[in-house]
Amino acid sequence: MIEPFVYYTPAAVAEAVQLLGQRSAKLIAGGTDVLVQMQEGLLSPEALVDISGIDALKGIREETEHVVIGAAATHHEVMEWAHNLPQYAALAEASGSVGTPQVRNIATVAGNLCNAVPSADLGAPVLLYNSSLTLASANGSRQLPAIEFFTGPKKTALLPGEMVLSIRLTAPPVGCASAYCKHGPRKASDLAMVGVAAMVGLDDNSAVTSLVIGLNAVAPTPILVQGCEQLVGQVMSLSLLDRCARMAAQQCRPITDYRAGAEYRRDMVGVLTKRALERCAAKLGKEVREDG
Amino acid sequence: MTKIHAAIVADTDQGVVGQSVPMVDACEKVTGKAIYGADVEMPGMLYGRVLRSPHPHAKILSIDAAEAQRLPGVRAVVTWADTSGELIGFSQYSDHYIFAKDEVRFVGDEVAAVAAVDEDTAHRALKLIKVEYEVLPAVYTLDEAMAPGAPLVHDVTPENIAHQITYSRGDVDAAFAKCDVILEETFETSPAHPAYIEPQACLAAFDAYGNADIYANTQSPGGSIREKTAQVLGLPLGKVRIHQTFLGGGFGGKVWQHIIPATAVLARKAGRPVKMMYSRREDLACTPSRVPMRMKLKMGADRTGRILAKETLVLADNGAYCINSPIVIDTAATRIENLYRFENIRTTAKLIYTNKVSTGTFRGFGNPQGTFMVESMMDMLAKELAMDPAQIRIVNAVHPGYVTAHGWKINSCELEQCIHEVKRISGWEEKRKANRFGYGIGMSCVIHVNGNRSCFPAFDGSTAYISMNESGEAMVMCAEGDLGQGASTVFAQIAAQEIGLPMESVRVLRVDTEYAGFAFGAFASRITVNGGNAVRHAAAAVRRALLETAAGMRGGDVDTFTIHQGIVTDGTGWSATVAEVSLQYIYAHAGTNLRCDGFFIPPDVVIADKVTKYGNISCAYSFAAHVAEVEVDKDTGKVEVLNYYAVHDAGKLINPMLAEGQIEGGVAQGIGFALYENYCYGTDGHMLNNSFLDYKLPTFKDVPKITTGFAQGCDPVGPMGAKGLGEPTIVPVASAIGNALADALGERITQMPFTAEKVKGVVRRVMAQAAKEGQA
Amino acid sequence: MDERHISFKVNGEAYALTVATNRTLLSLLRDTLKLTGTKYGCGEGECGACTVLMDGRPVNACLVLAVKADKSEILTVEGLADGGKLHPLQTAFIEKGALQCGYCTPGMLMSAYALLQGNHRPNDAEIADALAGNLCRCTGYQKIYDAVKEAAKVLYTEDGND
Repeated sequence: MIEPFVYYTPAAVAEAVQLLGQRSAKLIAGGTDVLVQMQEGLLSPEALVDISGIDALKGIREETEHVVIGAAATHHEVMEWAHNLPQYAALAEASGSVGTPQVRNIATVAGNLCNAVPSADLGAPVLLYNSSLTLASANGSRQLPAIEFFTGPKKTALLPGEMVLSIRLTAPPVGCASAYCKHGPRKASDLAMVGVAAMVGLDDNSAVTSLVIGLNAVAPTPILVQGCEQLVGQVMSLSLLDRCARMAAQQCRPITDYRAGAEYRRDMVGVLTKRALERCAAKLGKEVREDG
Repeated sequence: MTKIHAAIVADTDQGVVGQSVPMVDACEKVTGKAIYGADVEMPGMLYGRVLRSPHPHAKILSIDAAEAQRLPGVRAVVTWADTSGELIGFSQYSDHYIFAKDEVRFVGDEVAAVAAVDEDTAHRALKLIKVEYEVLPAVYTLDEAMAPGAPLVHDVTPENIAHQITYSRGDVDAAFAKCDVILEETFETSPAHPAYIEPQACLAAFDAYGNADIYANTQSPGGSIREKTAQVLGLPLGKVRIHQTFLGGGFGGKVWQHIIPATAVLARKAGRPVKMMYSRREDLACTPSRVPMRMKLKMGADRTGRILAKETLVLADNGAYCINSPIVIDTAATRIENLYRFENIRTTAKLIYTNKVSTGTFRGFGNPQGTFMVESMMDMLAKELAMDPAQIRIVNAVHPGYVTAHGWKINSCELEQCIHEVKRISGWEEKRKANRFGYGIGMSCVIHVNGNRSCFPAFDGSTAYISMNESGEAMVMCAEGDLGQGASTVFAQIAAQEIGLPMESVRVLRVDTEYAGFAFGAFASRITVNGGNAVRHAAAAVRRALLETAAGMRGGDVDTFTIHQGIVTDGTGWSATVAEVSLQYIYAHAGTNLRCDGFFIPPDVVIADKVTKYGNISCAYSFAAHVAEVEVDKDTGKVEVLNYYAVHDAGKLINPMLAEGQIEGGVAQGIGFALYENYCYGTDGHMLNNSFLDYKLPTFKDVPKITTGFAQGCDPVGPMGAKGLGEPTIVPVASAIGNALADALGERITQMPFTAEKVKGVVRRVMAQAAKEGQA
Repeated sequence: MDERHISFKVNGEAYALTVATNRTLLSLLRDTLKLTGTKYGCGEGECGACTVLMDGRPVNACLVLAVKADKSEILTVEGLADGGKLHPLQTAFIEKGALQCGYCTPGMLMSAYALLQGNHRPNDAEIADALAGNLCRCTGYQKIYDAVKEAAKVLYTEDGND
């Protein structure tokens, strides 16, 4: 059962942050994660503040250097928007792998981040874009780098009374493509056992102009693979894939639980890293070269 | 066959039998009008919920429900004390109560239940019931439960052995001595939940005279659960009435439902109707799964592939209580021994108590487990003998007229035809040449019963009646019921054809035990042969009576009259509608509708000997051969079933479309069973994956194209030559996929399910070995 | 207990009523409006048995608060048929044998309906994508592909739309 709560539907952000500051309130947009937890008795907030009706938080806005995903934007909207935008494909593919089509129609990207379970699909993709989150509370607003947002399993840097207004992505340089690879037991509707997001830029000679790799479900938070920038200038080759896979596998810190063993997860980080990079190259119309 | 039935006259080669007519109740289902278990309502209805044990094993010291009872809106709290207090269970294995008396034995064991004016109040009330427990040591695995000095799940059951059988046939030791090849392996199958999409649900009410009136999504409305409910209520059987609602799937999981007596006890105490529906989590964690087994098998063959000897030890995890598990393990041990011409067999099977949810029946009833073991071994022997896996099966296949080691009299049997046909449609010969690491093709066969005489000692068979209404419609009541598989449609087709009516003039009534006969219900793939024959006999009698009535109306020899498409004619140009004749019958009998009973007693069957398990338990046997093609992702270990082919011997088909549907659904369930369905437990006996998030059912994207086929056959006992098809469809799937996987990897995984992680481990080992050999 | 007054349409009929905020849309449809064609299967958005269309989009009624239905248009399985005339999807499901127990069927039909609104000629992959959130334990899905394609044919060739 869902314990009773007071339900608020603020029309503006100012009203929403006032409500969040006032009492033990939980914010919902799509509400798909929160409602399941409430049905299970894991959450019983005194109030729910539903921000899905706030116009300022809706939709996805493209600016010259940035893309702003509103806190009320659903996975479905992100999939539609990023369709045919190879540089944002990681987002579309991650959103497209969350839950079921029905869930994606109401669940939001921001909600996926705020839920902050290690398997959340949007974590690593958002990290690819040097993103920041615009947070607001009754005391004002602030920008927080996305990498600092995740502090542990189901834990974020949100202060009491604070909410996410939007996710602000830095537009990647021209000529980049991204991808999200996910591994689960089935072909649909699975939680990520491992998720790897990658973004690659290649010049005409298939030399790497930019490279970012993010990992889901193999650490307490989504993480970026460190040291990728040092690979800029190298040719997209099988040995480069191997090197990236090794780096990713070394840097992840998976656990063993009933869904998978830690060593298997580590192994899959390597496999999926290669696949994500290969897919990026393919989207750029480039082949991964044999070495030597 | 029994002689008292009316002669069966309809032409079986024409008419609606054999046609792919749509389900007779499909329109209700697509419009949302079908009333399922949780859709039933009654005025004044309360909502029930069960309080369950948080401990895997504990003594109940006290239960204090006073505070719960004081909560506004709560109308009743019940415990063991509100029942008759009798032990219930499967015949001599009765080992539990509907609410725990003084001990709980698994996390989820029923302790008490509440009825309240709404679900939220019932939920709150559960939290106010104070139960004092003394936690006892628990055992979770076969090894823990069988260890010397292990804590006992039931004090009265030494060594935690709930049930045990040992039998032998022929001279096993001498036969092994003659073998050219002998292999040994241990196989393990996982628990899997039937996972019908509609959780268990029930509404119970009592009339002013103390009669129970129950609506339930049960697949056995007249069967054992009605008897158990009467027992728990302390009522004579005749005072318990069960209406079968539409069922959102059953697959063996809705044969024996605690929710029915539990709701009835609540309704009696509350004095008002009570509805209860399990949550998905409750349903997965607290209702029986398939019985998981560890099976040690030694099998030997001569050079030609003829199996000479088989020795088996089956250990099965019963969980806390015996539901139907004793016959499930008997089935796992014996059934597969009738697929081939085994002559020398020695088998021991033990059912072991553990402190986990009780295990029981799920489509196949133990046969998928036994089949996984033997059909895997058949491929291992074929490989050792460098034989085609299809060939070793043909060499050993039973055939019509054969009497098996267990005394089963094989009547119609198209097993060889199934094997040849599945080879043809799958492109077996060509594809087997592929010989590419990561790709594999595998085969498995199955034998299954059409009813099991050993299930219920008192009798087996089925009953039905058909009543002709004023409009000439045949109202068919067969107490077996319909669990969603299409039994009503099959009954309607049989009745329409036998009487000579168009399909739209036949109505199949939903089962209400007040009006239906006594019947066991839909399990053991018994409906088509048993229920179908009962309906057919009733229909034949109706036809005869209609002809006699028409002859009385017109005058003349009854044998010159006939009925076709609802019109009675006598060959002279005279005709009357069946409606006119039915109405005439009513007038001529002071208002009595033309109503005929039919029944069917399976011929030539016996209850298998309790000790030796010998005896012909079914009047017909169904067969099939399946082929699976798999591709292994060598990086991740993920197994993809590329194509699946299934050819069944179900005799002459009543409805090819429904028959295909049975196969496609059974194969899809088998894919889940083979690849990912499993139970994960925490160290404290809690099920960790008790939701559809983590208990994985195959989705739209996970089921490949399934190509179905049927052997040309005709069963002498089945109605119009038909045999059952419900269970055999899932039985060989895990072994076909396992064999394909072994073909793909060159190494066999003997422990189900074949998860990506497990497969990856094998891939790594095989590739490392190959690399080593490459270097050498 | 917090309550809200909401007004919305279900299958074209307007409703205005007061609901407790902790109710789900599933409970509103089933328990209050007695539209029991929409089914409970898991309560967590995994099985799709409770799929309804909310302003044209398929959603899990078990994961939507009833108050969120305010000012929306809901379509349930009861609203598919036009009076006594079945929707072509319903007819195709019946004729192709795309159902057995029928419990997942209402949700399956709603997802298929939404698919066909936007795609008049779905191929197998598109059907699987659109229906991956609807679990069926009976049919193995095979005949559902046939039914959806058949319905598309009936819907979008008879009137010359495609």
